[in-house]
Amino acid sequence: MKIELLQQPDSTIARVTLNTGEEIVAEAGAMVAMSGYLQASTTLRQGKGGGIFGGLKRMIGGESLFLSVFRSPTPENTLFLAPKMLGDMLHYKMGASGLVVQAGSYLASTSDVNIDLGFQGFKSLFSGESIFWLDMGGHGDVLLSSFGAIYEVPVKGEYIVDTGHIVAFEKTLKFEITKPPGSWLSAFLGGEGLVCRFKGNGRLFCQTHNAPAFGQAVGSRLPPR
Amino acid sequence: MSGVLKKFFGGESLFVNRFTNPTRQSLQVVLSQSTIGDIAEAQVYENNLCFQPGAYIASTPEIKLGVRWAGLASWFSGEGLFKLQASGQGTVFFGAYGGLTRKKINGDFIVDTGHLVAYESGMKMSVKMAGGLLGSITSGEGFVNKITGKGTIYLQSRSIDGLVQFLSSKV
Repeated sequence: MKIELLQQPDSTIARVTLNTGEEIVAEAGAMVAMSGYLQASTTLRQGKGGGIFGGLKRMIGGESLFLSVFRSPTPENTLFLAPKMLGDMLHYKMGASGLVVQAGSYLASTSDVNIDLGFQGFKSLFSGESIFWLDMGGHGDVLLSSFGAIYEVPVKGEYIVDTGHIVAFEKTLKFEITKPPGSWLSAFLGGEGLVCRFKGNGRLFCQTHNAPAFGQAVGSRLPPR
Repeated sequence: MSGVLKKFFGGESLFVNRFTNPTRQSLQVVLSQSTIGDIAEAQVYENNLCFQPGAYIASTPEIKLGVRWAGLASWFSGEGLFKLQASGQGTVFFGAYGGLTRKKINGDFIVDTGHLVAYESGMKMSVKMAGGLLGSITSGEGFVNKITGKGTIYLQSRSIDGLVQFLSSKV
């Protein structure tokens, strides 16, 4: 399987070339175009993170209930995948450490990658963001999408990010939801809300823009339905 | 009269501007489009190029523009009932929402609704459901375009529908 990212960084689209017998799982609606020979089916995914329960959990996590599976019966078939919003994509190779993905950033993964819903505890309940994150394990390729550009932060020690700007982070990192440094008053007046404080060593992926904030900014000016 | 047709059926403006350089020096004209995204140029000679409504931006004077019946299949798949067709010889400029990807097709190719910007005429278009009735609903793809034949197509990496869907959930 070959995964190429085109049209980076503002409106990235992934061109996936599948060989005989290879398959890729994608969020419902992510397919832009594909070879007519590819077999497309929908699944609730069997095994870990699968079934009806897995699907419902994914939906709570801000993802679609169903996943699309694209399987290639012949060599050299092309599949184009893209998210809805303008922005970049990230091709992450799952290795030894698992990956925690912000709800909504998941786009696709190869079939040996497990997708589960991670409940990050009540600590994230007050962050104003989604309480649920996707907990990814196994090995293979993962495609993530962002609103705006993605930048990587190699965290060593401590790092603080606004909760709405996190795309994903490696599970070697511990995190807590906390107020920004300084007093509670300045945190409140500064408009930063709550932040994520990471500790440990690992890769953290951030996005330059925050989709819910954009939605609020535009949505509040649209006439009510 | 043809302008009126293009306006209402081709998704283009009623009038077009013609820019001519009467001087001996080279002058510039800067053209853009209403959405955020790429603009591409394509050479038209033997192959006619068809555009989805709104994609056309400009063309050299030897290019003829016409409105063609695109068919019910096109309408079902979220594109227009009519399409704009460029014929003759010259250069056409067109734009997209997001990035533009050029793809050569030989055989069957499937494109999600709202992502096909332009295509060479002579290919057969049909509408189908993405993977059966149930699959079509559950996959979130709904109807898709099926293109059969040999030629070049242009895809946009985002669709306005996707943005509208996102924003309308925020109202």
